[in-house]
Order: sequence, then C-alpha cells, then structure tokens
Amino acid sequence: MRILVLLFSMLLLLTPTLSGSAEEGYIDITAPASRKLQLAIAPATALSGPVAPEIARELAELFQFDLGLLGTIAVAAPAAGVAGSDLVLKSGYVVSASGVTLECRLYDQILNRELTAKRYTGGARDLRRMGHAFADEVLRALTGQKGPFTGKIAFVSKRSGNKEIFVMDYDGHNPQKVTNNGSINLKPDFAPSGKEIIYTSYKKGNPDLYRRELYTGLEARISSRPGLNAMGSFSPDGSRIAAVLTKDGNSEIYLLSKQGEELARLTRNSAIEVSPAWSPDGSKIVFVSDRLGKPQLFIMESDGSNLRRLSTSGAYNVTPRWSPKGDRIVYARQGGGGFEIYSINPDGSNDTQLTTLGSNEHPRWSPDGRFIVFSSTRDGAEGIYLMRADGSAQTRISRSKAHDSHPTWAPN
Amino acid sequence: MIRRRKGRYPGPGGMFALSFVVHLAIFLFIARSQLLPEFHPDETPVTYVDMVTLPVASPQSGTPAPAEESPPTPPAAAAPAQTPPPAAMNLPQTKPQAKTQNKAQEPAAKETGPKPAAVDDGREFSERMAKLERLAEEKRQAEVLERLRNKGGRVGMPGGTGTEAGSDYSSYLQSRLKDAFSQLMVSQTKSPEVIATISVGSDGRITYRVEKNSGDPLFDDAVARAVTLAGRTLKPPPGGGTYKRMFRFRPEGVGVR
Repeated sequence: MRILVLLFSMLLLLTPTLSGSAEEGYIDITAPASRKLQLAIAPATALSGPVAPEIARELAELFQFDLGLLGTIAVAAPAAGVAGSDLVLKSGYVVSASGVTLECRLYDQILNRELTAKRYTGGARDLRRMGHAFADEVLRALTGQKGPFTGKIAFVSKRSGNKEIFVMDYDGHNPQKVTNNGSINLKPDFAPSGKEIIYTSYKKGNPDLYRRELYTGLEARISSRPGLNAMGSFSPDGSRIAAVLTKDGNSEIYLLSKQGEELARLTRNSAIEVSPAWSPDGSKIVFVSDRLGKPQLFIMESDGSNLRRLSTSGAYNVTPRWSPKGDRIVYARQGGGGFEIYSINPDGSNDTQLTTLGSNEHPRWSPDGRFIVFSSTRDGAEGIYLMRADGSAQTRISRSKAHDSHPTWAPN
Repeated sequence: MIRRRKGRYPGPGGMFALSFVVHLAIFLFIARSQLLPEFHPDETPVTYVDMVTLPVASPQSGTPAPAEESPPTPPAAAAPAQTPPPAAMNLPQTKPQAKTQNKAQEPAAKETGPKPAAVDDGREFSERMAKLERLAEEKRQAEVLERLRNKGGRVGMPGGTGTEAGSDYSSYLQSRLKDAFSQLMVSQTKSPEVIATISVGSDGRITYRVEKNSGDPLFDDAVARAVTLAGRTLKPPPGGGTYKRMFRFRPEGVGVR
C-alpha cells in the first residue's frame, strides 16, 4: 500500500511538468482593442393593424440613446441601412384598442443567428418602458450583465415652485412628482428594493427623515429628533440606515433601523461628519469629516472602527458614493469657483477628475456601475446629467428649465 | 513473541493495477529525466537544394585572341585538339567537362598564331563544349525544380497570390484570422484571451471549438465572428488534406513578454 501511495505521489509531481508543454502549441492572433460593435436599427414596422410612424420614430431614438451610451456599440440610424453591420435590431408593433404589443429581435449578421427576441404588451404609455426593457435585454445578450435602462432616477426639482422629490426614467422622460407638500424636500435615497425612498423634508418645520413607499404613497416619519435628521443612506441589505443627526449638538453619523430606532452612534468628536455612504458589501462606510480643518473623505468599518483618511488632494471634498462593484468611489471636489466630480480607488490611489464644465455635484452610480448621474450648472440652471464611469459621454437628461438636483438611481 | 506480518496477495486485478502503476511511474520518470529521444512532429522537412554553378563561356569562344598577344608556346601540342567528334559524345559530367575544357583551352591557347587552321578547330570545339555545358546545366536545373515540386506539403499555397504571410498553411490561416479579428475585435475587459481549436476540412470549411473562453462575452463573440468571417473566403489545405491547430486570440500587447 505504501508503494502505491509513493508511486501515486510521483505521478502527481510529474503531471504538471508534462501538461506545461501544451503552452507551446498556440498560434497567436492579436488585434487592436479600439473597435466598437456595429449595430444597425431597422425601422420598426407594423406587424398588423394601423401603421404608427411615431412609434417607429420613438423606438429608433430610444434604442440609439440607450445602446449608444454604452460606448462599446456604435449605433447606426435606421436610414443608414443594415448592410455592413455586425448586429441588427428589428422591431415590430401592433397597435390595438387595448394597447400596444411590441416584438423586438436582435440578430448577429456575421454568425447568422438570432441572439435574443422578446415580446412586450402594455398600454400606449408603456411603450418607452418596453423599449428600455429590450435595451436591457440587448446588453444582457451581449455581455451577460443586467442593464440599467429600466431604472428610475429620483431627484429634487423646483419645477413646481418648491423643492419637491420627483422620479423619472433614466433618460429624463416621464417625470412624476413624489412629494407635494409645498415645503423643502432634499436628498432622496432608494431602498435596495427600489420601491421605497428616504428623504429629508421640512414640512413639519424641522428637517426630519421620512420613508415613503413609491407605489402606494404611504409615508412614515422615521426620525424627528431635535436638529438635523438628514442624508439617510440605506445599507445594501436594506435593514439599516446611516444618517446624520445633530441631536447631541454636533453633526454626527448614526445607524438607525428601518423604523428609525437608533442602533449605534458611529462618530464621536467635535468635527462635522456628514454624507455617509455604504460599501456594496455593507462592511464599510465612506463619509465626510472636517476633523482635520477642511472637509475630507474618510472610511470606517460599519461599526465605526478602523477609521482612515481616503482623500489627500483638494481642500474640500464632499458627497462620496461607493460604486456597486466596490472598486471606485465618486465624489465632488470644490475648486476654481465650483465643484468638479472625481473618482478614486478605495485605497486612495488613482484619483481622477471626470468633469470640467460648470459646477458639478451630487454624483451617484447607476446600479450596474457603468454610469454616473450628477447635477451640473454647465448650461445655466442646475440640471441632471449622465456620463460613463470614465467621464465620457456627458449628456443632459433632465428636460426642465427649472432647477433639478440631487439625483439618485434606483437599484435594479 | 515476535509477530510476523503476513503479506496479503491482492489477487490478479490488484497485481495488474500495481503493474500498471509501476510501469507508468517508470515511464514518467524516464520522460522527466529526458532519456527518451526527442520527437519533433512539426519539424520542417529538410529541402536539399543543389548549388548550381552557371556555365561560363570559354574566354576563347567566338573571340579569337590576337596573335601578337599569345605567349610563345612549344609547337607540338596539337594532339588534344583532335578530340572525339561531338556527334559521338555522351552528355559530359561536370568535372570531366571542366578538365576537358581546360585541357582543350590550353592547347587552343598555345596554338593561336602559328597554326590558323588549328585555331579554327579549337574555337569550334570550345563553342560546342560551351553549348553542351549549357544544355547540361539547363537539364540539371529542370530536374532540381521538378524534385522540389514533387516534394509537395508545405511548399506554396494553392491559388496563392504571393500576398499571404508566409508560405505554409498555418501562416496563411493566421493571416486570414488576424485580418478578420482586426475588423471585429471588441472587448470590455482589460486582458481577455480565448484559446480555440480551429479545423479546416479538405473542402475549406472551417470549424471552431473553444478550449478556454475569456469570461468576456463580447470578446468571445468577437472571436467567433472573426473565425466565421475568415472562413468565408478560406482556401482548403494543400494536398487535399485537413488542418487542425490551436489558436490563441487576444488584444494586441496583452501577455507579450
């Protein structure tokens, strides 16, 4: 038996030596990595029933905007034809008295196969949602990852005269008012389910923290402690809320339950601590503190221990947010008369400026980490903008001339 | 009391297994110690090419040397000029030809001047010899070319235009795949790599099996598209055979040491 074990061990030792020689037999094929997938959008056609050119036009614009934002796909307009493209997106619709049925298909012209096909049915006002759902499906078919295009963005707007909370599609369409109390409502944040938001409202005079169900409109005041109750941020599992309270005389970060009960006080010093944001695994919190004289970014464990400084450049760094993948933290830095958005690794390295035009603040990540939504004054009044995580493709999405700010993207 | 351990006979199956493991271990030991002769399945076949010395015309042929320039020579040296008539000659061998030529040239040179008739005979002989040498060389070169053609295998491409990278089928296929991959490369990760076995049938049809994907679906699909695109205009392997090799696809500069 010992001999067998010995021989078997020899066999195991020799195996890597023999298999390593397979490396030699490859022929290398390399190419520059600068190309985009060429996708052509065929004009949407009526599968039956009346022809509706406005549907075809709206779908074409929607697909061009959604898929063009990705950066890895070059989208050709329907007028350009489908010849020479790698992929073709075809769609057809049926308009009936009960609503709209939409059929979409994605073909690979080179591999000569259908990659995905979906049929959606809904009311006429659901057409854009159906289109965004298929854009998500295209991304899933090509990359295996869930897209952010059906996600909603909550934001603060003065379009009704007061600072109210609104929700809109990610591309700025279909804005809907969430609060309507005629007061000041600030800093919305989505629960991980995407069905609830928390926000600060002055509607009772004091800046209190509220939790609201989006679809039922049910609302609860979860923190009305003396002083400020603000900047609530749901933990990734949705069970806790990190918030800023001044009930003890100074701005400190506390952990609250979903119902508003105080679970823990995380910071304890004479400086101002604000803007808590969770790491995606819920183990850490990044926040802003002026304990060194100026507002800077710090990271601590979610129990308040192991505090360390994150940002070392810039005199005024605020509103940090951790990326869904955990690899970057985006924040705003003051300088030159306004704010610019920066992105940094959680270890403090690779601090990169992403914006240069106007004053840009309140950055938040899309649920897949591909995009950042933020508010900017580059076109005059403050509006909501989108960009890719590397700062490219900066695009205005809010369509109102009124002040829109504090955007936050709903989780998928 | 001394206790003796009794060996247990494992039976024929056990003995067979033990024998197999022992033989395998010995084989692996020999393989690791590099005692086995080396085997090179892909070694390029050796092609023997004869170095051809092109025929050089005799300095005397067709250009009679002036009498005054010829050195004084002993008079009795006309015998070599009377060599066997050309009609009766067999195809001369290279070295004997050279010797014969030298021998023929020597007397021819010696006889210039004093004996004009002998000079004419020598010139005619030299020209005839040069012609024969030229014919022999042409024949020999034709034979060498024919031998090269008959070797087949990795010599040239059927229908090749001379623009392919390299002269063997691997280089040809690599060139076609690289062209297609350059047109279609897409990735969303930093250093994706796909390893695939690519086969080309005798009808030129390409098949593709992924051995290791990159984990980046965009890149994996780009490789599949490149193989498909390259396969549309592919010429079959030479000699009516099939071709199968492993290829590694990656962005330029990735993994280059």
